[in-house]
Amino acid sequence: MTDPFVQVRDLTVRFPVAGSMVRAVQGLSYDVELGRTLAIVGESGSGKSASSLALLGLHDRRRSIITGSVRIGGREFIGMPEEQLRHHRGNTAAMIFQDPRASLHPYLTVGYQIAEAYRLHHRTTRRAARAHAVDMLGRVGIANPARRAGDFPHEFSGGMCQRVMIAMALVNDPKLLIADEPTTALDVTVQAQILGLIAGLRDEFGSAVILITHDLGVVTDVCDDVLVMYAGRSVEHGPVRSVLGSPTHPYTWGLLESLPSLSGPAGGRLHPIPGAPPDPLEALPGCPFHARCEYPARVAGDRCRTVLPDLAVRAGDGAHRSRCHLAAPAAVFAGEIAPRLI
Amino acid sequence: MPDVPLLEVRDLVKQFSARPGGRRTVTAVDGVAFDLRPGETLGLVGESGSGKSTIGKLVTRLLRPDRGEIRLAGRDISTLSGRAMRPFRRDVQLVFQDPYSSLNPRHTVGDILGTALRVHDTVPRSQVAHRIGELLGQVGLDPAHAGRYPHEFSGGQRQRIGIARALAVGPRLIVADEPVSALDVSIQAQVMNLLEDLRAELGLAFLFISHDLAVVRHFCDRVAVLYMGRIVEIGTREQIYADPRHPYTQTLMAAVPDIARLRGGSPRRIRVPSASPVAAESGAQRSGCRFRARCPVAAPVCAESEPALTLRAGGHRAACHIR
Repeated sequence: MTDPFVQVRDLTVRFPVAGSMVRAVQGLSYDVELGRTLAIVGESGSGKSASSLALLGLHDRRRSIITGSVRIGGREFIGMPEEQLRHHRGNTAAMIFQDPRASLHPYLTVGYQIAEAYRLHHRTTRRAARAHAVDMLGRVGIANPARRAGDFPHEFSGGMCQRVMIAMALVNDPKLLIADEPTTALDVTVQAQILGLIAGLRDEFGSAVILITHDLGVVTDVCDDVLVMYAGRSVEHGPVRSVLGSPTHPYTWGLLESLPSLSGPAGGRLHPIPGAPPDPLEALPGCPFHARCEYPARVAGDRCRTVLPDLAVRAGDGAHRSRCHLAAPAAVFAGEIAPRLI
Repeated sequence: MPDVPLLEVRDLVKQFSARPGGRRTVTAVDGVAFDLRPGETLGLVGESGSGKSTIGKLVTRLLRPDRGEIRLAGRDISTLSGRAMRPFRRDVQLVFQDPYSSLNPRHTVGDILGTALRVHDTVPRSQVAHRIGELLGQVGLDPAHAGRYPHEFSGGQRQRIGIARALAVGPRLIVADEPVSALDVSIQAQVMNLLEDLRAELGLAFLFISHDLAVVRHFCDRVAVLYMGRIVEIGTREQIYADPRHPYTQTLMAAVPDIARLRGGSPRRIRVPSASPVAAESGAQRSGCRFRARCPVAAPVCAESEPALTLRAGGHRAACHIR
């Protein structure tokens, strides 16, 4: 059996701030296989973006301390010299961001920008690179690609700009695509198109995808596995169906409970998670979620406040894990108000 | 008289020039009409460019309509000047999407709420401080924090401050433009519950503008679906969500990724529908149904005339020739 294409082990990202240390990501580990999509979900400040930027060495080295191991295609990316990283960015792994307009150069045609990405990694003529760019534009679903390649970003809608970003990211045929909130700025109908496009290209190219999102609905639609982050840590991780269908961490359960739905009874009160996430400047012992959790009283002693729970196996041959001291969290949740979504 | 509408909007039109100083115009709102009764919540949904935020700005008279009527408790406010509008601003207040840019960073929370109270002479001056504390308590904030600045609060808390400011003058209608879109899921639910409580306690009516169909379903009694400046379907929550008639409403619903599907059965396959619209530009596609280029059931008749909003069931109207 071969190793998974992406192996992240004990990844930690810290930023020194005014004599103190922001712990953005703490001890994060996961795998992504080729042809699969991993969703990383969490709220603002949970570390989902900080961890993905660290994969490709995109944090400022002077302002961040990154430890742990990131192996992509068998190569260690943490500590890799900048020159080699530049070679692998785009070639081995590429990234797209939330705001496609801000990521495109307004004074250059989209065809030029895609061709430029290609020429960075291939010794070829401008004409051949241009042809490649036009081909990519067609593949991401832009009608009349030869003509549209000569257009500027402002002549494209937001959804079209995101298609251009995807074309640029995939022009060098990377085996890993990291998409950081790729549809958050887009309308739902356009979101459906872009997610369909990413899933289709994943299947066509056989690449691995890491999709960072705060939208659990998006996770349900296009992802195989999901990793839920809270305060810099992975708190629940496993197959989407298992994690969102029968959550075993109070935070995951709380997220699902706070969502209004398109089906089931409407109106009434939602069940929010009380409070707010902890201050990332404070190093707290114990479970990062304990202050907002309803269940510390059900755990013997004061363990939720003092001891960080391990990522314990909950189901599915060790695939579904969560970080909670409750012995059988799913049974505890089942005893609560029935989840409104079922 | 509970059946007298608090807000009556008739044939509302707002055009903008496509470029500054240019002659071409974009019709952002194109003949919109609806009623809102006291204590009722109406959701406005649609994609970006559908005109939903413009309607909010017209109703609060941050913008002046080019045509049409906006009757607030029977009085047409659509053409009132700034000064004449002032007494009506107490009745209609706006809550914005972005809690970061809608609060003055150099004013304390007490200043922000105090200004609203003083401008409208809502309470005697001696009572202002007391009332500020009351308002903060009402939105779930610590009254002792009135001396703090906006940056000292989290996003969810800032949105509570924005809500307190709207409540300060004792409005009857709140126009909420994407009030929870900028918030994280767990915080979003807290703010939704606050709005729900305020509605129940104070009998407030809401014009609730959102792109999030699940949030609108949760909060609104009635829903209007906008497409390129027009209402294409309007009805009660049950009518719109359980029995959508317009193909555009159906397209929107189908595009929402809903986790309930995961628990209910197999995740849906994503369909890739046709391209999204750009705002209607005058001259372009002025005849026929404006949805027809994207419509799965379009027929020749759809190019000939624009369908009117016709009655389908009690209060349920849709503008479609086919369905």
